[in-house]
Amino acid sequence: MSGLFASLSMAARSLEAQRAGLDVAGQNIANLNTPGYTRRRLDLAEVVYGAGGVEVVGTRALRDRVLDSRVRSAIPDLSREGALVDTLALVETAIGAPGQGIDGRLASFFDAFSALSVDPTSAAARDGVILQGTQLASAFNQTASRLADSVRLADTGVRDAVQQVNRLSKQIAALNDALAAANGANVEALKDQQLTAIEELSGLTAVSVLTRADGGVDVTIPSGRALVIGGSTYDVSVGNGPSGLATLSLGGATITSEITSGRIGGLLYARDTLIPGYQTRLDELAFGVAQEVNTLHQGGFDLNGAAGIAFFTPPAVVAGAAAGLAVSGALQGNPSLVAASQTGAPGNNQVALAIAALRTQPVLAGGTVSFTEGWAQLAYRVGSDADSAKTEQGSRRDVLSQVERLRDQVSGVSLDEEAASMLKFQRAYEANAKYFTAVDDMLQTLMRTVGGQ
Amino acid sequence: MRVTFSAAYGGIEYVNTAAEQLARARQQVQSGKRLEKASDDPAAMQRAVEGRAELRAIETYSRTADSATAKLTTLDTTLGAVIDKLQQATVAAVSVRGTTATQASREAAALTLEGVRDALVGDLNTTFRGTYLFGGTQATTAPYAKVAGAWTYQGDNTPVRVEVGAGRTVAIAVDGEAVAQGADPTNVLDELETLIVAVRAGDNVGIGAGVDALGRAFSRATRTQSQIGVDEQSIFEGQLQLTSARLAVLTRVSKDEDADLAGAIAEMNRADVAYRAALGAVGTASRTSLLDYLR
Repeated sequence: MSGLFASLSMAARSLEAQRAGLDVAGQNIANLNTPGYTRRRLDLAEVVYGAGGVEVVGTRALRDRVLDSRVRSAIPDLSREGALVDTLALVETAIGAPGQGIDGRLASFFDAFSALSVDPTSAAARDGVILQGTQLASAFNQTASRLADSVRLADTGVRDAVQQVNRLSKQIAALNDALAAANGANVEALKDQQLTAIEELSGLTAVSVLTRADGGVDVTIPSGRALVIGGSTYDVSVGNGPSGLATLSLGGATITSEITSGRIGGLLYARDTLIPGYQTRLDELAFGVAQEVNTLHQGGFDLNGAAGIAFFTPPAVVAGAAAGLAVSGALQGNPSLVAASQTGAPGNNQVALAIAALRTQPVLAGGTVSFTEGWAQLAYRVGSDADSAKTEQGSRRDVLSQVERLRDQVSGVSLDEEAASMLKFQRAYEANAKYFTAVDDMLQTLMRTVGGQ
Repeated sequence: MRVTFSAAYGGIEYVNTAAEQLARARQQVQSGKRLEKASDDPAAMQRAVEGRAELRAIETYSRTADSATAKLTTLDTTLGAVIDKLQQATVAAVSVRGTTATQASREAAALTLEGVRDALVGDLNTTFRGTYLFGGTQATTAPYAKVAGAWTYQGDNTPVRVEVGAGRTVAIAVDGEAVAQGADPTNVLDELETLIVAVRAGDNVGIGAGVDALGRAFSRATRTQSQIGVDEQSIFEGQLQLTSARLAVLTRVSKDEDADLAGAIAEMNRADVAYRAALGAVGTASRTSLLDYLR
């Protein structure tokens, strides 16, 4: 049985422990809205030696490594789809509604040739053909330039994201240094920051994380190249590829094709695979139009009986045909050069008829697809890519929020819980204080007795 | 299960989702369109693009048919006039055949024939907005002109045809030589010249040959006129077909592009309710906590 003084010091320790409990509740409540904060719990233990009582073993952050890593692995997929959705939304505006994109212009162009076939010698009909040709060409030019803009925008996005990757790598490395130097001090706050940084990094590209003994982490991209090892970082550097687009390299190796997930992965996929696919289709369409119209036009005769010239400036290759499509300069100011006649007779309309008939003729893709169908296929491709990215984004978001909710159940702060715990420690403090007063009273009684008054 | 602060006070993403759905439903009702961009329904987009192109083609056929009708009417009327004149010439020539005709009546008949000849030249050289209708594809040259004392055809034998429907063509300028000459060695204008001389000279054999030639010209003109009639009929029938085809395509395109308004309004109401519910849920969650009861 210990003495009264021992009881007094036990009561003092208990008061301290209850106050620490109140502190933890306060800390938890203070960080209700702090992103990445993991709730803390006070670990108390009974003192087994001396007068007994309670002691503070420490505060613990309630982390779940498994759930953390599941959250980390769900993030890159979501942000990849997010990047695709953003990029394709822009591409979609280049397609327009049915009848308002290149399809409408194609119809107007062939309409003009139909009108010319009714009145092959009419100057107005000839002007109409040239005007519609010019508008068709400029519709192709605009669509091509919008697609090129989308590529450039995705490229800028990649460059920005790489800078963020490097910044986050440095932050993680700095945290590694701090953790290594902590030497047993409370590092939970550093770990919270570490988790936030890694998750932010996962949004840019998927990463593998290896935890070191001191709590630091080594971070590598999925192909195994390191971004962070201990306190050292390896920067992803951005070079300019042949077409002026960013190429990424890490430690001397080109990694552009190795990053397939996260925001960077999504942007690269849109930049290097999806949009170039649309551009090729658009170019094939423009090239097909120029070639077929030119062939017929050059096989005919103009109003003066001279052989027809090329209607569109002939594109040399498929690539870039849409961006460069233009009505021949010679035709622009001289509608009599429009070749409507097959024979040289001014009233002959067979070339005009033949060009108007291109409207429905399957001439693309080895003679299986008409111009309109070619455009419809492009619109379908863009639409279904954008649609599936949107759907995919939705389901990825569901997955992530499910896992986050699971983690939140372990690591999140509950206001009710903290309020209850506050009350609990407050009451315990009151009770201990009462005990302290009781012991103190007893001591005073004893003192009076010993004093012999 | 622990309900944490972020779970209780979160839920704003549900409000966002509901608000987004409501905005989308509202947009459909306002615009009446369910297809505004390709990703709204890619397959419908593809069909709508093709459908709209079909519509444009049909509209072009209609427009072509309208302008062709104007030319065909002119051709029809002109050929009617040609037939009348050939009959008039035949009557005049026949009236002076035989031995009883006086010189004065011969002269009168000859004058009639000269008038008919001039009128026929005018008919064959008919223009429609500056282009000749009886010169084949030589639209800018008068079909018949006197060259070195003889009436010469300056057009060609290729009729100009335009498309008024898929695979349906009509002639908007005809081969004038087929009307005026056909298989004959000389054209009807030169025949008339010869006939006029024969009438004046009282050459009954010549008059007989001339009347025969007029008869052949008459049957050529009637045949051509009936071909024009067939074309006019074909346009008329084609127009009916085009109208029903247009309606069918329009219905199909509309099904892909336009919002089903009743459905869209129902959807909007549903989205509105969902939005209010989400707002209500988030609002209620934020209102109470244990702290309210600790006094």
